[in-house]
Amino acid sequence: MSLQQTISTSSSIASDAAGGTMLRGAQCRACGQRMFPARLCCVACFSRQVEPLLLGGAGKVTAFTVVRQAPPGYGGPMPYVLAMVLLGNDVHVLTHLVQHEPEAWRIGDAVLPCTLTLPGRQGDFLCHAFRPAGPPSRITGGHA
Amino acid sequence: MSAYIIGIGLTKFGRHPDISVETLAAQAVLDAVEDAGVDWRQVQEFYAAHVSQGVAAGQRVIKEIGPSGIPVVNVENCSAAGSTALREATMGIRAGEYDLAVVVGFEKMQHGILLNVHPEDSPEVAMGTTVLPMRFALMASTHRQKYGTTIEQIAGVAVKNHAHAVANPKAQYRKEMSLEEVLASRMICDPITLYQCSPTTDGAAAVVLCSEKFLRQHGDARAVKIVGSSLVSDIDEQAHNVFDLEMVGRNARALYEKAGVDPRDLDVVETHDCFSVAEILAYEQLGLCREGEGGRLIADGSTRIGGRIPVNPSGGLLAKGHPLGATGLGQIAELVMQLRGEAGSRQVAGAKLALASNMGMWSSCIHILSV
Repeated sequence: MSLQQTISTSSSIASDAAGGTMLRGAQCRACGQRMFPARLCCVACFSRQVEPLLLGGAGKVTAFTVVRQAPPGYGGPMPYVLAMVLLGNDVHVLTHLVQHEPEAWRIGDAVLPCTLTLPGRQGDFLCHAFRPAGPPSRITGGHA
Repeated sequence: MSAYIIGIGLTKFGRHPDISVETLAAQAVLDAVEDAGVDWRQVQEFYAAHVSQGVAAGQRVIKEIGPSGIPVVNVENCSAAGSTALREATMGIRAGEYDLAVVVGFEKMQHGILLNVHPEDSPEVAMGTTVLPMRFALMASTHRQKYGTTIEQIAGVAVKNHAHAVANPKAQYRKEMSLEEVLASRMICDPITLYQCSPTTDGAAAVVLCSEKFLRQHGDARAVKIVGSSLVSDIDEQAHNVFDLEMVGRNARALYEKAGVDPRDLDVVETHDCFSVAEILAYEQLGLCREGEGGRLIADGSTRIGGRIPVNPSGGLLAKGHPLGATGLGQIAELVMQLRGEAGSRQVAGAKLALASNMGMWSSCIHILSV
C-alpha cells in the first residue's frame, strides 16, 4: 500500500524559466487573437492556425463572487472566491482568487497567476489561481 | 404561413412525489388537447422537451395517452428545451409539413443547487466552477460596478415575482416575501441569496399548435398567433469567458426586426429569472429600458402588474418554479392566458402583444405572441 497521493495537474498551467506560474493559452496566427484555454480553432476567426502561447504577468480582477454553497465534487476550502481576471486587454480567465480573506477583494485589484491544490476525484488536483500582486502587507495568508 | 396556439395545458408546478413524470406530462397534453377542442387522433406531430428524464421520454409519455403512430421527437436543450421544441414545431407548421402538433415539456427534479453539467471527473467539478449561480453572481458584480445597480434592486426581482405568484394557482410558492426576508436568506454566491435562486420543481406544460389552414377549418376565437420564434446560442461566455446575456440581446434585436415588432409595444413579458439578476439584465437586453437602467425598473415598479411593462406575472421561475424542460412552455402558457384575458386576478389589462424569453446553457430562445 502506498500512502503517496496522486497529483494531477490541470492542462491549463505551466511554469516559466524562473518557476513562476503561467497559463497555457493560444494565439491565432491568422488574426492575432489570444485565447484561454487553448482551442482547436480561433475563437474570433475560426482559423485552425492556432499556436500555443504562455500567458502570465499581472492581471486585473473585473468581477468576483464568494461561493458559500459548494457544488457536489468540490472538496476545497469554504467559502471560496471565483473571479474574472483580465490579462492584457483581451484575455478573460475564470479563476479562484487566493491568499486574501474573501471580503478583502476589490474590483480592479492587481493579481498574479499561481497554483492551487484542490482535492479531486482521483487524488489532488493542481489548477490555476490568482493571488494578490499588491504589497505583501495586504496578504493575510488566509484561504491559501 | 403562420402558426397559432389553440390549446394549453399546465400542471401545478411544485412537488409531485406520487406521480410519474410520464403521467404528469400526459396530463398537461390531455388538458391542452381538450382546451384546443381537438381530437387526439387529429394530432400529426409530437415534440417532447426535457433535460434529464431519460431515453425516449416522449415515447413513454405517448404510451400514457394512446400510441397513434405519429412522429415523436425528443428535444434536449438544457433549460431552453421547451421553447426550442416549440420553435421546431413552429418551423414544421410554417413549412407545411403538418397542420396540428403538440409540444410538451416536463421534468421531475432532484433537490439541490442548480449545476452547470460536466462529467464527474472534469477539472470544473474539482474547481467548484459548476455551481450555476456563480455565473449570475459574476454578472451582478459587473453590473453593480458598471451601473451602480444595488443589491436591493437585484433582490427586488424576487420580491416582485413572489408577489405575482400569490395570484397564480399553478405556482410552486404563493407567499409574499419582503425585501428583508429575501436579503436575510442564506447567502449562496454573493450577492445572490437562497430566495434569489429558482427552486427545483416537478411540472409539465403543453401547447397545441396549428396552421392557418387548420385554424380556418376548425375555428378558434381564442387562438394566439406566433409572430416570432427564434433561437441563438452563446458566444461571449464560451468563446471569451465573459459572463453576460449578450445572446439574449442579439436574439431579441434580430427577432424584432424580422417580426416588425417594437419592444415599446409589448404589453407583457415572461423572462427567464433563474437567478434574480438575470431578470434585470434581460430588461436591458430585450429593450424594455436602456443599458444600465434595469435596476431602476424594479425600484420604480415598472415591471409589476399595473406598471408600464409587467414582467413575469406568473411569478417567474423564482416563484412559479423551474421544472427545466417545462419552463419555456410554462412561460408560453402564461402568456396565452394573458392574451386571452383568462389570467384571473393577475391579468395584465388589455394585453395584445407578449414576449417570452427562455434561456438554457448556452442558448436563448424567444417567442413573440399576439392576438
